[in-house]
Amino acid sequence: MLDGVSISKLNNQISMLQVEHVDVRLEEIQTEALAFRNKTLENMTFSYDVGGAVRVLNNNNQAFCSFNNMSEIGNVLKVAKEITAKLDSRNNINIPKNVDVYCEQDKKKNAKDFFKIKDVLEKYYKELMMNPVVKNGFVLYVNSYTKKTFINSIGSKIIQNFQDGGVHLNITNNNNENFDISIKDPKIYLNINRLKEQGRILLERASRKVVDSVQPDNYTVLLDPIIAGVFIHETFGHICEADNLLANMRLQKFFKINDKILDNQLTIIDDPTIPGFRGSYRYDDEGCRSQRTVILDKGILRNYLHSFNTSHIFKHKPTGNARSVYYTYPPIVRMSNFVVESQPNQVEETIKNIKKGIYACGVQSGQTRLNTFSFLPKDMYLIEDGQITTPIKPTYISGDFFETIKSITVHDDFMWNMNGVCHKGLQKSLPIVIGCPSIKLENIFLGGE
Amino acid sequence: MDLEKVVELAKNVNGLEYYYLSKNKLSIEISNKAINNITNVLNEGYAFRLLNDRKMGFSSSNVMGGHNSAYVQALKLSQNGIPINMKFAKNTGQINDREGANEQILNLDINGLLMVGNNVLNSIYKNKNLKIRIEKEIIKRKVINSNLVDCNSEKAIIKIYLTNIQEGNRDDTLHTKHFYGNSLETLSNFIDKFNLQMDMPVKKESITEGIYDVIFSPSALFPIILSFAEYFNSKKVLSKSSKLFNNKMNINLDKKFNLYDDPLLDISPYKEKFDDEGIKTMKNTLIENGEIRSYYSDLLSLAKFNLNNSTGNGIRRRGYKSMPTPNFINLSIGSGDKGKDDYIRGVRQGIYIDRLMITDDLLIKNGILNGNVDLAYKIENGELTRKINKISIKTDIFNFFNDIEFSLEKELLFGCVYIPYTFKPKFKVYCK
Repeated sequence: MLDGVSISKLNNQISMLQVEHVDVRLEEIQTEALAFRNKTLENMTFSYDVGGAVRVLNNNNQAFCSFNNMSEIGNVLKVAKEITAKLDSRNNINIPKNVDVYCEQDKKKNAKDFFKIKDVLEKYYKELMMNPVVKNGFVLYVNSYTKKTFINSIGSKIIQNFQDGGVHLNITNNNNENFDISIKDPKIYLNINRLKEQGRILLERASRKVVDSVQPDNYTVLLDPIIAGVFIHETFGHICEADNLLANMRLQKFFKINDKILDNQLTIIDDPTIPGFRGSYRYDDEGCRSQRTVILDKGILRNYLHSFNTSHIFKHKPTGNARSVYYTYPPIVRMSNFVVESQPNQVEETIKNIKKGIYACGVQSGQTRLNTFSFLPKDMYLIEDGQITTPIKPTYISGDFFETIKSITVHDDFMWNMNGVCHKGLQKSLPIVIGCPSIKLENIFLGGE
Repeated sequence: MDLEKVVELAKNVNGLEYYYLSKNKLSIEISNKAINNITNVLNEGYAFRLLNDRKMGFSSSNVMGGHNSAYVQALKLSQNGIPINMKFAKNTGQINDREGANEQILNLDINGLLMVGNNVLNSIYKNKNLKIRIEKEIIKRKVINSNLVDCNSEKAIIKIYLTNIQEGNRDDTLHTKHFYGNSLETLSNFIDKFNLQMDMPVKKESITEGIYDVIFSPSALFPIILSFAEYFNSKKVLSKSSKLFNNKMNINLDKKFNLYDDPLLDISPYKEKFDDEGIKTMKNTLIENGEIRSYYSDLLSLAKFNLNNSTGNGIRRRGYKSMPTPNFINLSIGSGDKGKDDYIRGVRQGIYIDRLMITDDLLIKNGILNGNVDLAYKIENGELTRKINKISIKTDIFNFFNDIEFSLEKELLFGCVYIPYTFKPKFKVYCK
């Protein structure tokens, strides 16, 4: 459908507008979804959408308008220009200097027949439902292709293709307890053994009888690489997004570039250039070339993550982290493939030295608000006299990030969590990847009823 | 797409439904007296549900000239699609509902919205460090099916989000209030409430963990009642996964507890005469004097259990792209007979919880509710004295609604939840 949009005609409309800068983002999105619940196929949907958004920079102001009728682009550009005249001069961006031309091959062309995917997953769902542990089960499959076309008034033209989705399994056991797992791989149906292996892990968790609760006390908590990565992403990662820093003057005072902000060797990197990852892209949604950004280098703050807008305000170079989940949203500063580097500490040694502690694995849910965090792991175990022993009922791990980060130990068992999604404001479920080793936290109060 | 075309396309199948949704949102953000952002977003699209030999196909698109290819996709999916013995809505006939399309709101352009925004800012007398986002949203909706149902509605909603901008102190309170309406008549009440909030105590104090008389504001009750309402979802009720409808659970709810879904609630800008499946809506009593009376349903979830009397709660939560699922339209709790201030005056040592953060996690599904208290005040001898920090709550959601009282006054939250202040005596509060 986007092929019907004449790029040269659009370029003419842009040059006729006579403004400082324009960028246009066009998206074509095809999504297939399947859901099995209550022993039947509950949902089978197909959607095809096209739409776009323009950003017009004029009078040092920037306006954003979106549309889904391609013939309306000309009018939408005019409306955006009118809006810039009404804004107060404080909304400028760094205008890109390089003309980039890049065109990727369409991923949708290799798509497999939807009915065949349905048959594979239906067979697996029936198998899952036969398991005596399962009282009820839910299997959701989503496969989404997005073709993004970006052009701007200096002549850049960038076409990129993305595929995302995967399977979400949720089961209720006979005690009415829920367990779930996500495998963010839209081609999982091609590797049914991998799906079955993940299902087996889920069934194992659902069949385990966990009766013990943690006794209220302060504990040493060892986070496995999954929850450790989410912990650092949600707390430190989001603070280093420049738009979040802009909203908090006090944090800006703590987070000065080239200051040693942590008394440890923590190193954190954001890298969308890693090939083939869910958080990877060659250009961000402002047409800025992606790059590896060292955020924290052995405790020294080296960079914030930036869009063109925030880099202008902070007078830094843009980092290519402006991403948008859908054409109706403007690009905002987001992480991509987020990496917490390993340190030479063996996790086995750490466990041996914990007299009384907790081992937390996976994440059920979590929330952060400024400096406070609260996470609920999927599984929790006691560590007693240097050994992981009894499984206990998961409880919230909460605390003050700035207090907790002072005494962390980072290990050498680095692992990628390929199933990440990130929510920010109204823009939910952005594909990300987090790589992190296990992390030990000290003095965390757990328990209560 | 009109009724005639739908009937024509339905000739060779067992039933066809066309759904159209358009949302046009004009949004302005002003902070520190400067216009920060103006966005204009149009999002429209449509979906077909097609019944063919006891199977359903669903397809959606936003390509306005692409109805035929979306229809063909739905037809294709129906050949190997969702097995269901369902009939689309009938007897609804024709509805043209423009009650919610107030000309005053419809006609607001950028200048008009700016004027409203600036008037609100000028009416807040205390903190001038404010951010306001003001939105006009025009929602057009259509449900047409081969049973000659032809429903159309148009609404114009104004939304205002007002926040005192954080100075940067990590412990500073961020006051946010929102207003949803389809007229500007009640805007002054909203301003008064925000002004009152700015007068609340700012000095902080820690408290000891223990049992307190607790008053929950409507905002604090909001996430609790949203979680609770899910137990009335017909999908959960009929598949026996709702604990509330499980006779073995022996759940006792307070006799003073009355809960309704009232799609025709006058105060709500989301007042609906028909749902997203073209069923006429009606007020549905979910709990009456502490007794569970009913649940809310859609055609699809009922059909899975060979039932067909939908309560008119088939809602496409994620817009035209999603199939209808059971959802409340306007949730409402019956008022009590005592004012909020009377409750506060009657508490010697207690806590007033104004804001609560709850995650929709697996524990809620199991009936256990964990909440971080975001904003709370100490009540001493009938007065709010100090702000309290670092407290949390943990409760069984069903026990929460036993031994509870509700205030006379209610607040409308996000335009669709109309609830009172809640008095919960002897309630455990935890310290973090």
